[in-house]
Amino acid sequence: MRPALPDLHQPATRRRGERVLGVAAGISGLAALVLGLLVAPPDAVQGQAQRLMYVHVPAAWTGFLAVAVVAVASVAVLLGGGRFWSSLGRGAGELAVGMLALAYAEGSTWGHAAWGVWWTWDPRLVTTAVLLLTCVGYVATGTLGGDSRGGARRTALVGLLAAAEVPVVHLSVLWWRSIHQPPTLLRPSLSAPIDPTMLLALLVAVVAFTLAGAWYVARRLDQQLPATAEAPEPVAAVAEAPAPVVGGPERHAEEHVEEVLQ
Amino acid sequence: MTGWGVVALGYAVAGLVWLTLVLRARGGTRGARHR
Repeated sequence: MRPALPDLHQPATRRRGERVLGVAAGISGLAALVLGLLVAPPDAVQGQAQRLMYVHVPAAWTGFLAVAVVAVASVAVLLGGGRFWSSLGRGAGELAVGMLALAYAEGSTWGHAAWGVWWTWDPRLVTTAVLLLTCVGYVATGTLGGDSRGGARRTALVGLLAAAEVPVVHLSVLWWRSIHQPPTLLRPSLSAPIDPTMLLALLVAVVAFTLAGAWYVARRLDQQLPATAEAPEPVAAVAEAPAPVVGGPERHAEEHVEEVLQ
Repeated sequence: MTGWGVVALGYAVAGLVWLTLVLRARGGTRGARHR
């Protein structure tokens, strides 16, 4: 019976998905550039500087999404998942670092134009800095731990810590007095006070960043996994199942491959 | 620095970040390929 979802353990499936994601990200990225720089009107108060939001917001969104993937991968690793999950988490962690740093750079540039300062001790800025540093720690821990089981578990714990910080960052502008504006789109009333053309430019940029981020994680996953197809790695329930009694040459070959990969 | 100068700086930084990620994802660095 064919699986309902594409089997990401198959290299051919991953590469086909990468190509689709890459082309879609390129096309939507070009559309986002045209919409953000040429079509969308300048802001009535902020002028042209508001166009930085078409990078700042998608970068922050993609960074948070990457941390969510890190969280899922971390849970899977702690439940006994193997190299697929630790590799997925590593790629997503790198993406999170890049996107959160980019969101920071754009926000800082915009802040210098709008607030007159590059940095201030604001709850949103401080909590985002903590999240960015935690993500850097996640990637660094993954590198230091090598491919050992213990290293993967330690890395997963740092990943869960990063995931726990995301809601604090998002709600920091509501919980504490902040100069950072509250959410424009993801707010309780769901009525976005934004010009329709600006909203279109923002949404297309969010789609472009999301697709490009997915492409990056897929590529990094493909680089870290073996070039040949292998069986899905066991999670806890499968790993504890008794080993089959009958074994042939194929089984010995699979065990050898797994030993090399450990 | 105001107006389009800020926009140019911001989009240039974004371009550099994405270029770095694309090069890493395409295996352009030794560390990316081996880790």
